[in-house]
Amino acid sequence: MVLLLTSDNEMFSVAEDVIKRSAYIKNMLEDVGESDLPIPLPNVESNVLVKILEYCEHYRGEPLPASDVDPAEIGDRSLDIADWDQKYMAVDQEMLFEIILAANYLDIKSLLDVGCKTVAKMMKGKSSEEIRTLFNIANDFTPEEEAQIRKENAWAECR
Amino acid sequence: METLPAELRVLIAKELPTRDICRLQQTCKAFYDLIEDNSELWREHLRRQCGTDVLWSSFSGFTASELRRACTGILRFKHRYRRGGHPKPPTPRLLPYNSEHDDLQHQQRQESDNPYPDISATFLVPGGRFLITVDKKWLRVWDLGPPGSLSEPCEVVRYELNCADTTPEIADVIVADKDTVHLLIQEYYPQPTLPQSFGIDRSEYNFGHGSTFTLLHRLEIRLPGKGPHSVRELGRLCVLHSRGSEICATQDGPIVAFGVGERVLIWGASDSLGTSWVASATRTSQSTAGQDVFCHQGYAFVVDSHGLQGFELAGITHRPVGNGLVDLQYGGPDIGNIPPPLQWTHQQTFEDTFRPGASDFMLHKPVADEGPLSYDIRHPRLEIDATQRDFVSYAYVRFCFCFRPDSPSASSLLPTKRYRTATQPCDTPHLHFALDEGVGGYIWYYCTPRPAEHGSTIYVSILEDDPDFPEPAGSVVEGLGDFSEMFPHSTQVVLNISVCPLSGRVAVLWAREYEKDRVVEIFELYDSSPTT
Repeated sequence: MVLLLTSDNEMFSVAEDVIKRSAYIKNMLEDVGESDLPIPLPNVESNVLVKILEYCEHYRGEPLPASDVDPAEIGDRSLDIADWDQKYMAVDQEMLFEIILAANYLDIKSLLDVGCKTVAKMMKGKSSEEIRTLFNIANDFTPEEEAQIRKENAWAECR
Repeated sequence: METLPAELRVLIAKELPTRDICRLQQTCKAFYDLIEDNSELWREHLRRQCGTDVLWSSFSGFTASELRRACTGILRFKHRYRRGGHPKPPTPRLLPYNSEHDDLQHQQRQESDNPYPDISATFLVPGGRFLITVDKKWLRVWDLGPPGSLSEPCEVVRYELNCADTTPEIADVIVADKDTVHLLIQEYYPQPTLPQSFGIDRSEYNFGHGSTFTLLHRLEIRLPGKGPHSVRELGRLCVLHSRGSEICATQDGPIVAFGVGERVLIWGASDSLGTSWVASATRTSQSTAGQDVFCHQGYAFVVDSHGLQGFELAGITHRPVGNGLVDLQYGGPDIGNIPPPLQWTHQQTFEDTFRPGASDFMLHKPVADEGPLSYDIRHPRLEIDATQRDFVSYAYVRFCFCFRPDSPSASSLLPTKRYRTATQPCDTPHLHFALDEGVGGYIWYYCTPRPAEHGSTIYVSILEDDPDFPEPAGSVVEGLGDFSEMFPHSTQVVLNISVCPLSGRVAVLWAREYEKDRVVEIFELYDSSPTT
């Protein structure tokens, strides 16, 4: 078992083969070896870690992805997301970004992919204004700048 | 969204289709800056659009904005037409005279303002950056620059061919890896004696009145991003066959499939000269009109007006080529044998109205996927209006050959859909290509029989609703013409068009006078309008 200590000081005890999906922790275990000391995760809150562990638990036993694949070599990618992953990602926006941040910090490639795809899927087909509203992005262009950019990218506006 | 660091925002952007990336870019300054100059993002995006058929070194050294332009060209082009605009035709670029390589014809060439009047074939390497030109003496490769470039093309490498034929053709080009292409050049030689340079002794072949030679040169062109560029010969094959046999040749890795008359020839073109081999089979159908051949997964396929025949290459006995001569007419030196066509061969009689002599079957290589491989076979058909007794339109019937290498007898050939592509008779097969997000397009041209009128006209069309195949039989997609672009040439004949849909670059080879004074013009379709 591996002990994890979250930023809000909650301790989690997790089976090694579950948490090894995190390359960050896998490497740490390999470097440090057997230890009773908890691994501190100052960037992850307990409610997010619960969610992350749910993911790792679900994929327990599945082979870990090869770490040295060049993403540019993978070729054609689509925004298809597995059914379970879609349900898993059906959370509020704040949690979605927390999961992405934690997956990045813990280096869980497949989860980071699913997270980014989920956000991309929400954006796809929407206008710039709709994206702003959806993700609460402030439009900081001056009217002149915006007009110029819209003109240059007129081809992107409609299908 | 504000909580995400830049690198994670880029990861999200990388998942988006091109159009959505640009909309995201317009939301705020942070995203604008993040995306605008991110060459890694655009490079990866381009990589995804390209697939393996594109010469990746074409994009080497591109800036972020050049990569962005390459990614967005198709969308910009479509938008322009969507608005109903008809911008003026793009201005062509010409191949410059290279004064470093002076020769005897210097004076003459300068006078005629056409440095390369003998070019007989052109090919734009997928990626759009490199143009291959062939004349009887030289093979040249030109760097045309990034998409939209207006600078002068620059010769990057040349190779002395010294063909016996004055009009050698480019039979096939494949991208072998990220910076290498393999090229098959075909020349005809109707004289009874080959030039000394072939090293073939006259006593080794029988040459009758109905005989002709076809020569194949297999060349490797290396075009790495950071030079040096080079060309070397991988092998040559000289085939003696009866005059008038229709010929086609394609490559698949180290194998060349060669359809000549009723025969299929497989040339195992080894890297080292002297170890290549040949094997041959006879087809069951006699018609050879508009045939096409291809090799894949250890099988060779021939498509013609009788359907599709497959040959298993595992069972062949082959013979070394020796001096490179293969005599298909009188037996001659022993050549290897390919077993007869397989039982699962499809006797599909393609409809009757295609024009004899035209190159009628175009094969589109597999959509690589797990499970059965699909090959797209497009068969053009003339549609004749009974009332007008005249050509009305040309249609393409698209057949999808679903090949199952694990169980060949379960393979099937299905007609999937029909395109109506032109309302006028075309002298050429349409050049079909896939555009983004499953949308297809084509480029075609025709020459009027009365040169005094318009001469040749080139059209570019985009075909909407062209989702991936296979799909249920019988669905019909037609109705085009909204996206036509014309650039009329005065009175002359277009000999060849080579197109790169990714870059929107089109290389046109045309003759200013009948069969001579040939000119290459390079057009930038996507960037010809002031809106970019």
